[in-house]
Amino acid sequence: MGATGQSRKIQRAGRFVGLFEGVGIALEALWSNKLRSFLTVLGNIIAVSSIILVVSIIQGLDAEVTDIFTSEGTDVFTLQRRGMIFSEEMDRATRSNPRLTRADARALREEGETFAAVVEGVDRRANVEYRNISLDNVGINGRSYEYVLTDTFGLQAGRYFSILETRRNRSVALIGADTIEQLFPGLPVQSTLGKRVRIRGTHFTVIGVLAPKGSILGFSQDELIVVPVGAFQRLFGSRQSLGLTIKPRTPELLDQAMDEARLLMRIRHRLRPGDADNFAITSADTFVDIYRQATTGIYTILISVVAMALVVGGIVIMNIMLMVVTERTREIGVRKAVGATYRQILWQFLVEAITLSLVGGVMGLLLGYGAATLVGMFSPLPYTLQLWSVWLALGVVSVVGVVFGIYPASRAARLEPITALGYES
Amino acid sequence: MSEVEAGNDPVATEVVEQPPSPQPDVPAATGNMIEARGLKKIYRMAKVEVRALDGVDLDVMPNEFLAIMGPSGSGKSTLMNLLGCLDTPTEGTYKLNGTEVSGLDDDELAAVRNREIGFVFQTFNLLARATSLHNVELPLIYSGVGGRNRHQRAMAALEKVGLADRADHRPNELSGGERQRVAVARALVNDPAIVLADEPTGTLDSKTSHEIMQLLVGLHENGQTIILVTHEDDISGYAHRGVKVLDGLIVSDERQTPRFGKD
Ligand SMILES: Nc1ncnc2c1ncn2[C@@H]1O[C@H](COP(=O)(O)OP(=O)(O)O)[C@@H](O)[C@H]1O
Ligand SMILES: [Mg+2]
Repeated sequence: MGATGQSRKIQRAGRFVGLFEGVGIALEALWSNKLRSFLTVLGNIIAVSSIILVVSIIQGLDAEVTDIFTSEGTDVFTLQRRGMIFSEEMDRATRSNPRLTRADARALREEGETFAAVVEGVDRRANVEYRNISLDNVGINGRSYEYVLTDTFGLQAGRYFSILETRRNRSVALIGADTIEQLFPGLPVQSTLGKRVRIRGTHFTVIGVLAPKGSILGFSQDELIVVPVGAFQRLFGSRQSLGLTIKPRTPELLDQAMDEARLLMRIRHRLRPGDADNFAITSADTFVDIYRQATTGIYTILISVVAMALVVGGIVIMNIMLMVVTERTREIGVRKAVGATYRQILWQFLVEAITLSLVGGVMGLLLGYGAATLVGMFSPLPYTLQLWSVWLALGVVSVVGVVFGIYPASRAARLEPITALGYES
Repeated sequence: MSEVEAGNDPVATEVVEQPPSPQPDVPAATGNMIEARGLKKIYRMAKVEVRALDGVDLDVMPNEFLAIMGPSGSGKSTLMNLLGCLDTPTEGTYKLNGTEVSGLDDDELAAVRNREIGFVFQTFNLLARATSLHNVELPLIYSGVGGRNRHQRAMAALEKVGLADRADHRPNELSGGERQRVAVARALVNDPAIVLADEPTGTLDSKTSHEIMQLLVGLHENGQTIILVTHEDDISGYAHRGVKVLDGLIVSDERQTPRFGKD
């Protein structure tokens, strides 16, 4: 056995050699004709990368979106002049909706039976200064004192403004965690209380610092200043419609409270029975419903795109495998002559088809993951790679390999040895 | 066309006059490696019917070295395919190494080919992408021999044909003669009952042809049963027994003194 040592490594596992061989042959064949191979597995690449990309992004969105919709609490609803606008028609129909005013808020407070709190809110962006530091585009949120009841994050220092401060339009301010850091770099938050910042030239006394909320879709939720709604209107006028956040007495009363708010507003706006609402009432559920509808739509499209790509890809794989079987008829004859059985040949070509399909799958996986990463880097869309989507994708392409590989493989396995050997007649 | 005539035959034949049927000089039916009775292979085409084999009886004892001769189209390859279980006869029975083969299904035939038969083809029929070692391992793969054992047996077979140092080469890196040696090693590796060689020197030059034949002679001397198909008289001259086929029938079956012995 002198020469044994110099030859290649000893192979292991006799019964799986067929498998390794099949994988090896498939990879080698793929490598030797890269363009053809790429086109062969293109369907799988498209299918798998779409699965990975879409699932990653939607799953990422799911997490953030739930945050957004529940940041004000799930037990409140909002009353706005206009709701979400999805079409030009909606835009036209709601353009003439009357503004919501502080008088509306007062009326709801007085007449509503099911409301625990009606928070007035109005937002815009403005420049904020402290000494020589000037910040552009800080969100200025006018709120009524009930804000304390709906702010789920709380304060890290100081206090909320009181009912009196709201009523007297005092120039006091609650500052977001990022904004406080930008205005008072390095200063402990406790020491910022009592400092006076300027919004549009008017001085506001810092009375509280909001707890950090983090960011959603890449946007910081901590760059803001909350001031009493009356002070806001003194600064910016009262032409801007208010949005009312209404908290029912108990979470179970949510639906009833929404009905009551609607009824009260229809009366205030003197609507007749047949008239459409000229205001919008939405709850977190409404948004979640809309979001669910949207993602269901996307998933439906995804499934059809993926199914189509897989069928086309599978047919291409089947064709290539039929070609491969023809090209290698003689090899099949040789294998049969030395004792390969139907099953062994079937298995070999099936493994080849599955390998081909899986290579497309893995390429799609890398592409999809790469694309998701790029989307994550260059847009605020978040993504989380879901392990289940990886297994799903690889499982699906394996199935494609089997389904579309079985026919060529059985053609190969059924060949008569002498026919395959091309024995001259 | 070289008619099968004893006079033209360059092989020095020691004619033991025998009818072209049953046992030549074989004593008993028992102990035969091959026992074929009334083998027929009839191809039915649209109009015509080709009787490629038309009733052949053949007995082969262990360690015989037999040459099947005959002109092109006489039915040699057909007979070889039947003997090698690559094909099934239209009629007749065939017992190989004690097993009646005629009734076996495809998987059983595959197993018989795997264990009992080693093929050597005219065109080598090696797997082009595989190394010599892997080509020789092939029959072992299909009989489920794994790992070190398979490797060692394949290397041993390569050593027998003097190509242990070419184990890592692929067919296109080997000469014709070397390729045929690899094929012989593949035929031997599973320790078959018979080696079937169909025109094994058909594509080789005469020097290489004789080297290959010397290799077969060596195997025969070590006890291997060999059946050789050829239409070349100087190649059939290596065998100890000559069977002449014409129009699907055995027309003569004679012991002969091999003209070319070992050098
Ligand atoms: N598959 C087949 N279909 C039809 N006729 C065949 C087939 N195979 C062989 N034959 C015929 O059988 C006869 C014997 O062929 P073959 O055994 O190949 O002869 P040899 O090997 O002696 O040249 C020839 O006439 C050939 O044409
Ligand atoms: Mg022939």
